[in-house]
Amino acid sequence: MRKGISLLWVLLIALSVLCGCGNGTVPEDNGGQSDAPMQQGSGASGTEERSGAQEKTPDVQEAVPYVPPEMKGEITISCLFAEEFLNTAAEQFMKRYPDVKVIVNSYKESSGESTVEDYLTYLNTKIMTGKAEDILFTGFLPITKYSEMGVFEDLSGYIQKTPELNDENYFMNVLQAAKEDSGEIYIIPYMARFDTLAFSAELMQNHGGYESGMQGIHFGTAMDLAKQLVDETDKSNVFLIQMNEVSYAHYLIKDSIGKFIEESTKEVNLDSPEYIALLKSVKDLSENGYFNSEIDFYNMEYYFAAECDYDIQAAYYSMDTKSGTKHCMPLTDAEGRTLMKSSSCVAINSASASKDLAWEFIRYLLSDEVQTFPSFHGPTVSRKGLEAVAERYYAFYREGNDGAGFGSEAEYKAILESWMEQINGCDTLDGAVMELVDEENRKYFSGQQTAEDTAKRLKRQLEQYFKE
Amino acid sequence: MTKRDKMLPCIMLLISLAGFCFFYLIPFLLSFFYSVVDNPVRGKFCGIQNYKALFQNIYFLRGLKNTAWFMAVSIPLNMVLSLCAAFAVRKMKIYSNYFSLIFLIPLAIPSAASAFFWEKFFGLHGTLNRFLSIFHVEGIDWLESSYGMMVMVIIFLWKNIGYNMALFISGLNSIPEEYYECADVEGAGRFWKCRKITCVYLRPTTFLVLIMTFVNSFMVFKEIYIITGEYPPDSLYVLQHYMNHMFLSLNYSKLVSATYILTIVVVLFVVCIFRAERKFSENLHY
Repeated sequence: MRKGISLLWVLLIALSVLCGCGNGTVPEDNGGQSDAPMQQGSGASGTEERSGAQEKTPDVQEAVPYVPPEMKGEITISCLFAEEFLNTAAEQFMKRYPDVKVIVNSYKESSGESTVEDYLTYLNTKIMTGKAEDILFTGFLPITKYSEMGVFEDLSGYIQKTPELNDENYFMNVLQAAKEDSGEIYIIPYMARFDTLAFSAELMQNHGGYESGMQGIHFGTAMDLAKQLVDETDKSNVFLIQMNEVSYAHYLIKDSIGKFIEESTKEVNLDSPEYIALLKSVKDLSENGYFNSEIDFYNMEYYFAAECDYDIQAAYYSMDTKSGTKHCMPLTDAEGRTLMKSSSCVAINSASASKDLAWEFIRYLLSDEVQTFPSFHGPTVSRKGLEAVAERYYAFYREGNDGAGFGSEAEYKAILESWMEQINGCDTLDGAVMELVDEENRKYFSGQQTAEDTAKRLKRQLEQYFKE
Repeated sequence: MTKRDKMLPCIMLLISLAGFCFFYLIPFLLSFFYSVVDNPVRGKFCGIQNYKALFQNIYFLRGLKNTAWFMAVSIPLNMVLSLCAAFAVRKMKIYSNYFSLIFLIPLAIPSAASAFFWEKFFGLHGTLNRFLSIFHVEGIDWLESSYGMMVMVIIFLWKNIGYNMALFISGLNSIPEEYYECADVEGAGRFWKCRKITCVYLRPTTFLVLIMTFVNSFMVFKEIYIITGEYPPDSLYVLQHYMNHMFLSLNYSKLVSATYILTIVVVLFVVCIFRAERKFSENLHY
């Protein structure tokens, strides 16, 4: 009896292994081929590309023409919430290709839940069961972890083989901003969002010796200058920047994140004297009234030496040279890289059975037709799209100023273009990391723990996060 | 007994067994696949590499050590204290029901509420430190310190003594009173009666309590999680933290490997308990 039960157990385990192996190997071997037999010879399949991409030279890859797949089948898209342009693009795509069905699965709309944690649990389960959507919008996703786990398909082959993706039509530096050191590109942006920083024109007038023509500035340097502006002025109610201690420390830490967290080796140096000094310096600033905790916005006159803003708006107000801001520029990190946010990117699920069809939809998202949709609310990756954005937003801001705006539309567009040209990286640090940092820092600034304890706790928590 | 009467229990049991198989056993067995592949997405066979890696992973080992330490301390302590409480409540002539109720109240308090209370009690600026400051003792963050696990043992005892006490009271009540009367007639002393009657006839209940405490001891994770968050101090890091994080970071290979190791340990423990119970209770007749 006992032997029989033991045999049954062994058989069950063996069966489970075999069943599991079967499920796991199908997408690996056949992904991207099942729906598009004509591409087999073209080598456009992502899976084929991934295995051979490193051996092939770019020249050889360019020599193989891109053969689009048969436009037939179903594409599923996963996102926390669907933006208007996505729904419109899906409808237009289905009209153009009647045999293709595009299903946008917006977690917020389908479940009524909108927390990132819930969405991640839901998506993780789908990924693990091999039922995740073909296209994943990367907003809120742990991009590094997903890339390491092989959730995302390498898009570098697709990008190289798609003829219209070139410098003439697109900001290729932006499209390839998320390129890994090894050459793979797992996420591709449809919009480029980035932070900018500007100084008060009025306060800058009193200050000499600032390096003009600067293209980008990192937060630490900018805040040193902002502090000088606050110290030099005889005006009252002048503050550093419209942030509290936690956000200020957040920017400072992200600025030099490489010093504190080495993502490649997963080393965490947050208990270093440098980090403790950083926290203490922010607290000093706070205690000396550099932040705006007591501003009465409606009843007092106040000034900020520096201002952090988002791309589209900052570009417009940077043209206000009389009373507004001066030397507006994208924020860089301490190494001088201008990083775009990874929230406006898409990726293809490596286990998708319709990778080529998914790429066709992404290609459509990047097309001028979609990129010029009025619902795009940021700098688009296509040059024509950016022209449309510039036109739209210039008119919008001008209207907001009763028709008496600043600069010209051409000037506005030129600023946006020059900023877009500067982008040379993508911020893929998992949101959870900075959430942990902010949470512990908040306890320090509210007096619940010392800087040393904060640093120690953060080191322990992040080591767990990275090394488990 | 009719054929129908014979079939009915089997049918009822089959329904339960089917549920257990479909929702626990079969998924558990199927998940074995994940433990022998390098990565659930790529699915490349890697043999026992995941199991080997687990025993080199400091966090898994830490979780294992802390979980084992917690169980080794809290299970015997809980059993002894709940037995003492059961004796005490049973001996009480008046208000015994009220005392039972007091011990059972913690079971009815939601974990979040009790965790909030204990956090405030043992926190750096908590009640305990304020009390100690009266005697000029410098306060520490008990949960963050090396005493963290002791705090969890206290919370576990507070919550679970009542339940075990109820089981022990029921076990004590099931011992026929005639045995004690007979022993009294024979002139047996209190210690003899305790050793030869109470301890002997309480064995089945003791094994039941042991298994229930063992199972409940895994549930202390909920309180630890609520009090210390996702990334607890080293002294409070238990196996469930590791598993929870592995699930969230899609590392199902390690998660399933850890689950299998834990299952083997649990099954071995339960098998040992059952064997011991069978051995000790084989000559027990009411």
